[in-house]
Amino acid sequence: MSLLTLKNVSYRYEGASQNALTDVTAEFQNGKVYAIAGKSGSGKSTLLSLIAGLDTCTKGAIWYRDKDLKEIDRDVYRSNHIGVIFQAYNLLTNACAVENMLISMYISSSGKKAAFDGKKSMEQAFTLLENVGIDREKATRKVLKLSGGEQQRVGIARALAHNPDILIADEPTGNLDNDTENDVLDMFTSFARNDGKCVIIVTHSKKVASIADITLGMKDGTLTLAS
Amino acid sequence: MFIIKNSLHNLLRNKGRNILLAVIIFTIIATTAVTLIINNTANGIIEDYKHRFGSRVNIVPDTAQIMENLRSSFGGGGLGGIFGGGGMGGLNRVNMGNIQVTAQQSIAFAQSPYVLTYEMTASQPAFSDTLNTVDGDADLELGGGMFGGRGGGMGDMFGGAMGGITGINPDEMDIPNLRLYGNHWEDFQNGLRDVADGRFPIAYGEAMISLELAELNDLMIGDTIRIYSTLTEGSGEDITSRRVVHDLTVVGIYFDMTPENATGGFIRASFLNRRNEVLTTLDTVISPLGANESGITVNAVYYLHEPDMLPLFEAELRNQGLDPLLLVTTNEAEYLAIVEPVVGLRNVTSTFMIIVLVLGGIVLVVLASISVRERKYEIGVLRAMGMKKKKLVLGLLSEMLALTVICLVLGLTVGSLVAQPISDTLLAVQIENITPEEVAEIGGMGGLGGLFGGMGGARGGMGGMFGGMAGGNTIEAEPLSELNVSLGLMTILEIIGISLLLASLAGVASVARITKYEPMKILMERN
Ligand SMILES: Nc1ncnc2c1ncn2[C@@H]1O[C@H](COP(=O)(O)OP(=O)(O)O)[C@@H](O)[C@H]1O
Ligand SMILES: [Mg+2]
Repeated sequence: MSLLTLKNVSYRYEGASQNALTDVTAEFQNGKVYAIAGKSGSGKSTLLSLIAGLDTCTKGAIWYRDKDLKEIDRDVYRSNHIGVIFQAYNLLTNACAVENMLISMYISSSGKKAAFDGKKSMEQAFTLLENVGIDREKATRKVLKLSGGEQQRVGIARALAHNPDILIADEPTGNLDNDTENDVLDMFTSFARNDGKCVIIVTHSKKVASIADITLGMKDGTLTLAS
Repeated sequence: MFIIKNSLHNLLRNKGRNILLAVIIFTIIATTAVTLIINNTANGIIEDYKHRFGSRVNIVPDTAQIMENLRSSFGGGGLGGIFGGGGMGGLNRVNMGNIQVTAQQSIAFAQSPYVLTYEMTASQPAFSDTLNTVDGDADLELGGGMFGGRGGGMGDMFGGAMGGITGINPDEMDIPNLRLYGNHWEDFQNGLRDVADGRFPIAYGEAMISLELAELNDLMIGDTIRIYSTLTEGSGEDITSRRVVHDLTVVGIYFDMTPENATGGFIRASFLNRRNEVLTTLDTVISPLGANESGITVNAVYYLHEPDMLPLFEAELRNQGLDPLLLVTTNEAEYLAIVEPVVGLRNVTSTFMIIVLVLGGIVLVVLASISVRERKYEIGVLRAMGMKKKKLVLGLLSEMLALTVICLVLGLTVGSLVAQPISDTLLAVQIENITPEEVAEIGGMGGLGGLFGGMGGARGGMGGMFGGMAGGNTIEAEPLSELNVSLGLMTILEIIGISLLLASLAGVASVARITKYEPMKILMERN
């Protein structure tokens, strides 16, 4: 069975005259990296938001394993099963990087049995941030005082912090230099191939698309299988 | 726990906004504290006075009704005519004589179960044929004319006490040249008299006399004096009178501070002179009084157990035959006059508090919802990470609560520090606002009694002197000019309650907003 199944998904923003997504059908499996390419405004971010469980589709259904997202606790789904790297980072800008990590870890702990251990989590957070190139000094700086690239990396570390089944990323390497981009892409592929997770990346980058196992195209709200 | 710690962190993370919120909450709490502190203290005082004055019962003539009766009995003559005419004294006397509380009644009323305690004084004209009295030389000049006419000026001097005896041939009776007082120590409290020698009378037959009377007669502590008084029975043609002999032992000598002659020499007569007053115990004066006799004026003030026993007490007195023209009253006007500045103060602070709470509440709710709108993005992020709405609300509420608690501590401290000066200032304004007429009204109460005691306004100083007799005892009714505010436990609890109410009001306003936000919409707006 697929990890994630999209069945004829349509979505229209409130008050919009047109669908942002129309009849999207797709399946996503464990252990694979997916790339979704497409022009700006074609509906990529919208699709990721629905996969992230931020809203439910207007028509059709999205299934996580054997459950319709409409029927499960989407708060738990978001905090435990899926990690999202937003195009706009969506970090808590007044807090520092570690605090961003800790809050995310705290939220996911409420869905798990083990109680939240602040000290242990803090060390984990520092390690994860170091993995994406954020040292301790930067990790304790207000996010607002980090560069765009650094914020992006914090966003990536945060998405991985609770060890989700699915990692979705919206233009994750847009702001990164070449070296860091390579590091991040290595992390994504390792996450899929070594840890058996499902990674879905929205991208313009040829390089990103090239490391993907499957590349999908998005055009005017419909999904096409690209070559 | 983490969520609460995090919310405390959040307070620091968003300093600017939180300081603004804190200033507003602090202002509301501090003003509420000040007004509540003043209010609760004022209420306590008002209650206290209400209890004291509300249970203090006087029996006074229903002046309005009496005047009404006079007016109707004289047809179209009008009030001016009555009081302008020479018959005034007589009229007053006749009417007053009919409606006075008898001495026996005054004494019996004190036995009522509703009466907790009472203050009672008795007075009686007295006569001595052996003592030299102060102004005694002038008595001869005035001569018998004094009691010659029914409506004569002096007749009403004795008010109800002598009201019934005008029918007797003056030659057959003792012409008073002294006055005997039982339990009348008010002047010592007022500072008008002081003990010059010896002590106050405490036992039956003990007396205190003035320094002048003692000197005129070479009297010393331990000497005995014999004076007479008259008690009468019946009325009209059937009136009978008897002479009572008082053998009194002088145990004290008092010094009187008032001018030697109260009328400034206009009228000099020994029975008008305060220095001829012989002070003794209540019992000494009233014990000779027979069941149907008159001749003693008894003044009583009764203190009830509870103010609301007044109707029961009155019913009992009416049952015992109290004249309908006599009112059983508490001195409400006096109580109101005293607490007026405090009531005014309380009204000012109450109004102010309501305004502050309403305005502050509105500002707070608006600010809280603005601040939530500002934090919409943050809320979107947290929700996107899967934070439950419940936890989000808990976090926001703990932020609000922490802020409130800080402001509460500061507000209570500052409030309790400034409450006293603010109270003083406001009270001073209230006192200034009391018009002179109102003060005069307070002071004039005794004067009203004086009018019906038969002394009339024209007699000047004497009105005041005997005023208390018919009007009942009056207490000095100075408006309160000081209020020592204090922060009681109840007040603290009330302020905490109000603060929590405000915090939850602001909390509800934010929560109402949060529930409107869906993470998708918030976050996609930014993409
Ligand atoms: N919050 C929104 N309300 C209404 N329409 C939106 C909103 N966000 C995006 N859209 C519209 O939905 C379509 C898809 O947008 P989006 O998913 O952001 O495209 P992409 O990520 O591929 O650039 C666009 O036509 C965009 O204008
Ligand atoms: Mg996009």
